[in-house]
Amino acid sequence: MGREKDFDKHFRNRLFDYEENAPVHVWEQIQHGMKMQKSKRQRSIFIRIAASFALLLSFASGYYLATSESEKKPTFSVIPDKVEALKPGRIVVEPIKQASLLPVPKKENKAIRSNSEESDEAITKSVLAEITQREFAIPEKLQSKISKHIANQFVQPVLVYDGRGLQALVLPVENDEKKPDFKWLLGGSFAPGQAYHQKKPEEYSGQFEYSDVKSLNTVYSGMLQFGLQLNQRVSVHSGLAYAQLNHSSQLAIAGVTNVFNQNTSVGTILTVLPKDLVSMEDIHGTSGTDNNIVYGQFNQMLGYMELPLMAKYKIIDRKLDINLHGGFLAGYLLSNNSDFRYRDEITDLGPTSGIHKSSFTTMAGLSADYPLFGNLSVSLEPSVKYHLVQIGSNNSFKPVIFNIFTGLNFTF
Amino acid sequence: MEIPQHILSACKKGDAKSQKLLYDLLARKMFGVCMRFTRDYSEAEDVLQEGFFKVFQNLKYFDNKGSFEGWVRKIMVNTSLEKFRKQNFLYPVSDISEYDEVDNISDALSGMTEKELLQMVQALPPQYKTVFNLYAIEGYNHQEIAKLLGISEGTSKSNLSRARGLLQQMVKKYMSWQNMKEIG
Repeated sequence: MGREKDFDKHFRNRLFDYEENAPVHVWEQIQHGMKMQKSKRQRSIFIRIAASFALLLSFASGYYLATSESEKKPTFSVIPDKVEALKPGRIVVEPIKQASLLPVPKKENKAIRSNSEESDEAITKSVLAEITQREFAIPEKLQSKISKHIANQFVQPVLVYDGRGLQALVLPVENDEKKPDFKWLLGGSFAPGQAYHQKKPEEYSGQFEYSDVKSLNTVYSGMLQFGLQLNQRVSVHSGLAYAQLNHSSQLAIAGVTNVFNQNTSVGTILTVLPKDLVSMEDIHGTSGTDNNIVYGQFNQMLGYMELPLMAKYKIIDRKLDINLHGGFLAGYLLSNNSDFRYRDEITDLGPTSGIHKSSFTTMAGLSADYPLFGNLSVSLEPSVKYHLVQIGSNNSFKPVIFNIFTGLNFTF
Repeated sequence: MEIPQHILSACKKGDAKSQKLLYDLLARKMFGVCMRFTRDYSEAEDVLQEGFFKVFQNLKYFDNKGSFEGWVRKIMVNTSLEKFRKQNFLYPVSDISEYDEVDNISDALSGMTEKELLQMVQALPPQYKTVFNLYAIEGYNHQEIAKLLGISEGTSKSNLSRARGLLQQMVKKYMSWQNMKEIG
């Protein structure tokens, strides 16, 4: 023991404070890197401000569109003395009959005014005779001014005689037909993505990072979903989703051994293989190898079946709808595997131990829906997903995943 | 080495001249650390550059409680380890048999220059080199090394013992080469 200590001491005494001239260009590169970082930070601040403005703008436009549409609703402040109520009905934008009721044509008004012998009651009755159907047409010239918010609404028409002429007004009322307003939705989507898990320099645990910010970690997700449109703007969604987290390292090094024991940032892989991971022939027959090793590719794959519960809120209700969505996904670990690839040979290394069987994630994002034909629409949903519970039992690995879902939806 | 407080404060504010001064004060020593953990000059250069970049990025987190040089050294070691992890993913434990003890090793080591000692350490296989550097030179214990490298304490101990064995073999070769030189 003493001998070993002496041996170590030689190296410690001579090498702990060992100094060597650093190349001059290193400082230049550090300086350049810091300048780049500064401009990147400035750019990132600008992007954040721009994104905040964009978000604010989309909320403001959503609010404006929602309120301006409600402002277009007919308002009725004065109910004159002589009022005749009709049966309630639904407003349609296309003319359904010759007789336009909103408002009563001017010539008819003139006729009413000129014919002073006819009592108001008689005039009212004659017009009422025309208004027997349960649907009320909007005159063509007014159609462009009627937003789709009022179209299809259930209204109570009211005939008003205010001394100058006869007016027909509509008052929105509760639908007495008890017809459900909600719609169902079926959809499917696919999303490639990227996962990140950033660590501070002082936090390095020494484990191979499953998701270091500098390495590429792909995520593939697919989702089959059904939804229920509760009203014009709000819908809830569920279904079945599959998400696969992949970690791949091209710099993997392996040597002649049949016992594979490796810690990664999500768990440990310990496998006894039936043969050596890399054969001695490979080692000696390959140029570019270093000592007793070869460079290959190491892959870790974790597949989750997930049950989503999401809500969507339409912020812009146009041909291209813009929605905000968010919710939670409960997942079950369906597959857990790893392998080493060298040349064309793939060696299965088995599962990573210590991985939780279940996952719990939250997801939020924006989505754009564009109608294709009939009830079919195409959607694009950039989303951010975050693992609320760490993936493995012995680590703090909770990746943030960026996905862009693309898919088709069918409403009925 | 004590770094004056006003230099650190100016560096935290992003003053380029003070940053250059700080770099000049520490670069030689830190390059020595990087050389020990890496295979060659160019790899050490990369680590030094990345390490100092991290130092300036994270300077605001330095709380002035401990030695600044020690804090920078720790970042250099961590950066070297990160490089080691990236390049030596899945490095298996090789089956190297125990080596014989070499006599007069202490005398031989005393007769070697720092450069020669460094070259021997650099020539070790990556994992042995890392464990030897951390334990024998940096003063970490096996528990800390195991945590840092994601290996068991037993593996750390066996790596250290094999590193010592390999170094002894190298010293032996050096001694016989010296003898041959003297005879020749």
